[in-house]
Amino acid sequence: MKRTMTRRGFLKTGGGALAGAYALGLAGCGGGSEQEGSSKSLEFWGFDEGRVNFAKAAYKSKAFESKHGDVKITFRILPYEQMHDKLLTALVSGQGAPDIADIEISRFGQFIKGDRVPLLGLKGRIGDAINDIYEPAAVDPWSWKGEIYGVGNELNTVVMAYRRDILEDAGVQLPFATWDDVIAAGQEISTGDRKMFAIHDLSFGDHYMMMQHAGTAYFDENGNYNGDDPRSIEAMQFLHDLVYKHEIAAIAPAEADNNWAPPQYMASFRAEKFIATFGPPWHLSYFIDQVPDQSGKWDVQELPEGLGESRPTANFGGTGMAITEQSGNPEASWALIEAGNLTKEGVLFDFEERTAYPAYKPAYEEQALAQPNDYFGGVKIGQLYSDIADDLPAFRQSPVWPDTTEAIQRDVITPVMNDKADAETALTEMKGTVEDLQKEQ
Amino acid sequence: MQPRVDEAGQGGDRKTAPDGATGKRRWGGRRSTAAPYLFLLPFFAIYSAFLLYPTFSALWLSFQEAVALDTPAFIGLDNYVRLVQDERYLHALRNTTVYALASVFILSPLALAVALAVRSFLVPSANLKSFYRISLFLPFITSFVVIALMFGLIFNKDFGLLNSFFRSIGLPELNWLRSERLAMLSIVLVGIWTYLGVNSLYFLAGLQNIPHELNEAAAIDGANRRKTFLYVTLPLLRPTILFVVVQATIFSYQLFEIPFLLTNGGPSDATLFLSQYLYEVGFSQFDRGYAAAIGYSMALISIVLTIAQLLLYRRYTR
Repeated sequence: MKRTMTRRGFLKTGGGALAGAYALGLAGCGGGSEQEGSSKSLEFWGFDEGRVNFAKAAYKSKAFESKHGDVKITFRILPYEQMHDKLLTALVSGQGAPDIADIEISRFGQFIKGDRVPLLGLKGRIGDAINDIYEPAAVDPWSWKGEIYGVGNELNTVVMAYRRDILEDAGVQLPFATWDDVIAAGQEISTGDRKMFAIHDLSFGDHYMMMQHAGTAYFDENGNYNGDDPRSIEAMQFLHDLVYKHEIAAIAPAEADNNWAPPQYMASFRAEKFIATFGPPWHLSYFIDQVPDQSGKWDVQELPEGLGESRPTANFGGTGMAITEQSGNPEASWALIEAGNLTKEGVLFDFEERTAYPAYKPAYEEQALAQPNDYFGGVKIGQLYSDIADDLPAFRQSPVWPDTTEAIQRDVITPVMNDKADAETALTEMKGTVEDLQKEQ
Repeated sequence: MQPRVDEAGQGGDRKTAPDGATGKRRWGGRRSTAAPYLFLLPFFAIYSAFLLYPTFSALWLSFQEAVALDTPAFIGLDNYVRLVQDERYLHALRNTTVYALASVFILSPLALAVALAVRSFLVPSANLKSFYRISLFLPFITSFVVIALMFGLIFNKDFGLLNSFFRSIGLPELNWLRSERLAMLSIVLVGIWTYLGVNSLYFLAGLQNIPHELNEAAAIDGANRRKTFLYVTLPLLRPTILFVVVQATIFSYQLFEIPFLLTNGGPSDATLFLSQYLYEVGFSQFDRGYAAAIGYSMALISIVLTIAQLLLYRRYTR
């Protein structure tokens, strides 16, 4: 008998087929989220080629191979925003997340919103090795409510760097003891075409470094907004005054999609429009790579005294490796993190490849880190970093960290650094904004 | 009497194929088959999975409090009430509307002017006309990332092309992308550069559809160029104008890439557009319910404005 189909019949059949397809899809989702715990095929997501190479080196290391030689890891590099967004989405959906992922310090706050953290706690796995790392750099940024969710390898101690040759020619006594000395030297060398510093107005970084140097942070130990602390206001006013009162700094030539060190920023240093800076090792590595002609002319020192509590350093930047709750093999995932971040072999690879000074203390016994740095006038910069690392302030994470720093950038840094708002007023008014953000969590 | 037509339009004899058993008409007549519908099924399956489902899912999400990994909770219209109390949303709405107004009242007339110029005696040769048509289309097919990079260099305060030109003629340098006063103007200028050509092509197509005889008749009746344009060309271009204005409005409320890459919404939210705010709320604050409400508000605004434009069009074409 020949069968024909009515429209209603077609819709029924089609609807049934669609429902079936959805059901199958959902079933597939459910099956995928099961944790077997011993998968031999893992996935790693990163956003920076250098860091992914660091992870690959850990994968090939003896420390990892001896324990999990039969495990295969696929490494994927995605653009910064895309990787973090995809990771969050996959964790919310319960499917599709990698086993291990790099999470940048300023994006970690997004992963601790809500009641459930979709990453595996690492505190127990780290164990006694916690004594071998500088915690403010290696684990604090990826810690929340007493648990550690990520481990970073970079010691991001902030120091001050300056052109020794130009300052000596101007008769400046070096190294600087106080910020007043820095200001006096800046006034000595500043002209229409040359300033001491380039201060950012599109990034919270300079303020964040200076406020830590002054002895405070955006959040207190209870997670409350602390940007209106007098030391934070003093740091903001100090940066403003460098540009508008003392006239020894200018606004950094940065742009929206690269608000820290775009090509024009480095070009300004090449052209000697600016002759000093402060920042962590990754910031100074830009000079080694992009201003090679000035090798040997620079010098570094700890931060001078005269601003708040005058800590000799601050903490800025970093990326940590974390294990997602969807990991098919947490043990092998941890072995990779451990091999990369908590062994001399692992951290020295990243030092040699990217000049990433390690947060792993035993590595400073190695000759490679004790060598004088030719670019910075023969200073034993590894020694300097490890000497001041104990003074690193603790990093206080918050679920609203990304939103807060974005709001501070928008409503404090840009207007204050463009002389359109008062530092104290802007930082005080920010309290309401941050409290609103916290209420929405 | 009107002959009854087979619904599937097949069979050729335009006769109804009654179903003897049920009285229902059969689908497809004598050569009835499910094949056409099976061929269509993949499209509908994909359409349902990737468009209908997300659309309705987002609508449902907009009525929920869904932050980060917490279980979503139904909160009715709270997210929509929050929209009208959210200063940043209202600021983004104002910025987006300013851009949309610039698209309608600056970009569209300019596009018409360019189209008229290409069609006029100013571009006499057919080859030259073709050259212009292709040239006008190129910005539209250029990647937004490339456009943003290019204009980032042009607008750069210290090394930019525009300020170099200003310097050469003795004018002061301007901080195009970093000044709250100029940043929106810069985005509008980039928008004009990007969309001017393609909108001109729409107008060119519209102009080509106007019969030449009407212009000749107007000339014989003593109408000069201005009157011919105002009383013949412009009224006959109304459908094209409507199309250009509607799509300019819709595109304006969807604008994301260029301000995101050029200014990232700054300085101090001076170029924060609705789409970027949605992205921030969705992926930075990870407030999925509220982000869905912002998305639906954008859709609603576009729909209302489009309907208003259609009604205006009908009113003036009666």
